[in-house]
Amino acid sequence: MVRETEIWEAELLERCLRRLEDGADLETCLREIPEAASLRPLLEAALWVRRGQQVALSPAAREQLIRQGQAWTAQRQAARRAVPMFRWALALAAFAGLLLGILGLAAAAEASLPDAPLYPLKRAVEAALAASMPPEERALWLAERRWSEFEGAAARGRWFPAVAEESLQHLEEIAPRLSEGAPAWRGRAQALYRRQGAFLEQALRAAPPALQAALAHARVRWDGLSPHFVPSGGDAETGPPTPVASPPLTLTPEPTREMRGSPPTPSGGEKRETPRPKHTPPGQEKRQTPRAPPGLQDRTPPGRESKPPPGPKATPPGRQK
Amino acid sequence: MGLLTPHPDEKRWIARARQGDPEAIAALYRHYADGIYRYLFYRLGDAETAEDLTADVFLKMIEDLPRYEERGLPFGAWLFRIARARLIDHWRRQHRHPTAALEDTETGPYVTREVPEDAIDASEMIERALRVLTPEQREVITLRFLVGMSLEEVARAMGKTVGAVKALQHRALGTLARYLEKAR
Repeated sequence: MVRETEIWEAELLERCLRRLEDGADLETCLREIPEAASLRPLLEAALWVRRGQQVALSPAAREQLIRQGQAWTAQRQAARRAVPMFRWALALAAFAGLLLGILGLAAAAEASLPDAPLYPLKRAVEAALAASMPPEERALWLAERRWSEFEGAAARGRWFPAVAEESLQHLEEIAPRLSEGAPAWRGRAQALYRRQGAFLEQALRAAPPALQAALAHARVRWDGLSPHFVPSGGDAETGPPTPVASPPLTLTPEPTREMRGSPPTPSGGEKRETPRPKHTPPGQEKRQTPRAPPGLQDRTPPGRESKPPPGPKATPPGRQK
Repeated sequence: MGLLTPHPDEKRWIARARQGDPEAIAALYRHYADGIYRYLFYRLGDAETAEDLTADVFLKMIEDLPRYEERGLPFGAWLFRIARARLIDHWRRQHRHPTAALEDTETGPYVTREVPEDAIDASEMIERALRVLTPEQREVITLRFLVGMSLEEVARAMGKTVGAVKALQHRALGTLARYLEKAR
């Protein structure tokens, strides 16, 4: 009951206060709301407190406050202008550092071999670069790179027949189109082919027995390329491939791992000379195959136009008796 | 003019003040400074500290202005929130009124100070009278009758229902009426 009376009085008080706020005086308000008569002391207290609204900052204090605020604003504006420049400089430095780091890493990865931690990065960079190349150039470029890796690893006593096979696979891709390519490109392909033959010959002697079978398989695959690279009649521009002296395979002993395990270089192996490639017997290099008529020549792969001339056929290195 | 009564040019002032326009800053100060100062003076009972805290509130306003977005919260109410937060920080620092200062403890007068009545002016008399109230009652009376907020604005500022504020107001005015009766 007391609670209800309090709520009722609080409501009544608020009604009177709103009337006073609207401009009515106390007597008018109490005449309009006679039941609020008992609230007269409370309304008088409210009116008395409202006199306190006269409190205000002195004009001098207010102006000082404003000047202080304006100075603070100017200071903040200046700081805000300075911050973006600093941020840009910081961002630029961070970007340059990142770029240098990436380039350094890519450069380090470039020299890596298939079992190195950075090798996947090398392959990723390579894939990105190769994406913009014409298919023939890409295949030859990848074949050269894989073969260089195979040679480089072998020189350190680490054998990666799969890498050699990958190189051969790229070479197989371009072999059927060899005659259609530019002379320089064709020359590079033929040089690689000769280099592969010479190196495989040495590798078969130097590799551990466990890897002989894999290397022999690569050798067979290389042999399979000979119809494209060793035309019986030779090419008018470049002529038949001539052997390239491959540097002797010198093994640098390194701690062995499963795939690295290479037996010590046989005594005298370092000095072993590159077997003389015997693609073409001496005296046969300049021999010309009777050429097919131009129309037919276009449709027939080089060297397959007609029956090969009698005489010794080009034999891959190491296959001669 | 109440603390939350916006000036017709207020939005323009805010936009320009964000760009660092000193005139717009001055306009916002002139419009709101007295309300903020009055609130702080009656809550603190000390003119000098109230003036210092008023300066703090406006510096904080400048700092936070880029983040202010009017989403149903008038600029005056936003400014009042800053003032209230500064007041609580001040009390925390002083260890005089912990955070419970704004809670309704209903324990009656929390400060008694004897000041000769003939030596103080009306505002000091009012300030002295407010000390007989609980912290929450004092907050309601300050906001409603000294700052000039409506009942609904007081309720929103204090996070209470309108009914609860009405009850607080009724009890506070009853206490003040008894105080004034005794003072006569």
